[in-house]
Amino acid sequence: MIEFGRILIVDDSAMMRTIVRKSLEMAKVRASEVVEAKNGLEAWHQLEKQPFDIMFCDLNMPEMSGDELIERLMIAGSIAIPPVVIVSSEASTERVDCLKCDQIIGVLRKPFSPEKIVTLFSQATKLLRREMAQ
Amino acid sequence: MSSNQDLIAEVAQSVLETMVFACSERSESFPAQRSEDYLLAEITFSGSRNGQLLIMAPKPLCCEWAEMMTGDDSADVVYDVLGEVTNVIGGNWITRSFTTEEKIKLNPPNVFLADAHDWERVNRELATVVLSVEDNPFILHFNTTD
Repeated sequence: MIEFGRILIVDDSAMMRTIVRKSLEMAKVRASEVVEAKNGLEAWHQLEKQPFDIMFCDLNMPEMSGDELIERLMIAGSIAIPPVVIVSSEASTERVDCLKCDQIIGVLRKPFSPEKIVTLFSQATKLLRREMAQ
Repeated sequence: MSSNQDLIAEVAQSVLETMVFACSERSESFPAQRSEDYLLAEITFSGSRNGQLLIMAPKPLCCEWAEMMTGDDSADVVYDVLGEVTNVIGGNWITRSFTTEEKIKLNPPNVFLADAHDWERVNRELATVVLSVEDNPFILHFNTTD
């Protein structure tokens, strides 16, 4: 069982948000709270309200894309960016690399297995511990 | 049978199995069932390559997937399921068709309600690959403009 804090899932597809939630359960991740957002703008409002311990974020979304959200958060600097896992069907990492965001801990390529989620949570835990130690 | 057709069939079969736990196999064309509604999903890509992927499936099949995956078979969720399946098939097909150096952006999918007449047209004029998904037809068509 992996105990974790607050998780934010950002995807315009209700199906994909459900798949991420189910994969978390299958990977035995127990979060204190899981919050969903349909696009980058909704995610921005959630992050403004409260901090999260990890964010699963799609790239292609209407209103505000995943890369726009991360770019905006980096420019603003006033909102804590949690460790980010990009969830995308695109294999090219060019869009992610362009962001130059240290908080991006990995890319989950759709479709993905729960085992991949376990690996990413262990990376997120290490990152959070390092940040807390600083 | 061209290798591109084999590739998109392979990608679609793998995605359907992983995402919606559906077994599928290559098939010949299916005649339309007059009473049935269909959904047509379209996704375009742009950048160093431009093109389009169309996927058509019976609406009841998409309803089954929506109910199984989310417990909700309302219209929005049903459209969303076929859109997301199309998005993932498109992304994986592009990845395997072109080199990673190529800058190709996949655009969000659009899903429309279609009828038996549309099905006949797509089946006759556009179908690149036809799959049988647990005895239901599933048509894929792609084109690249360069």
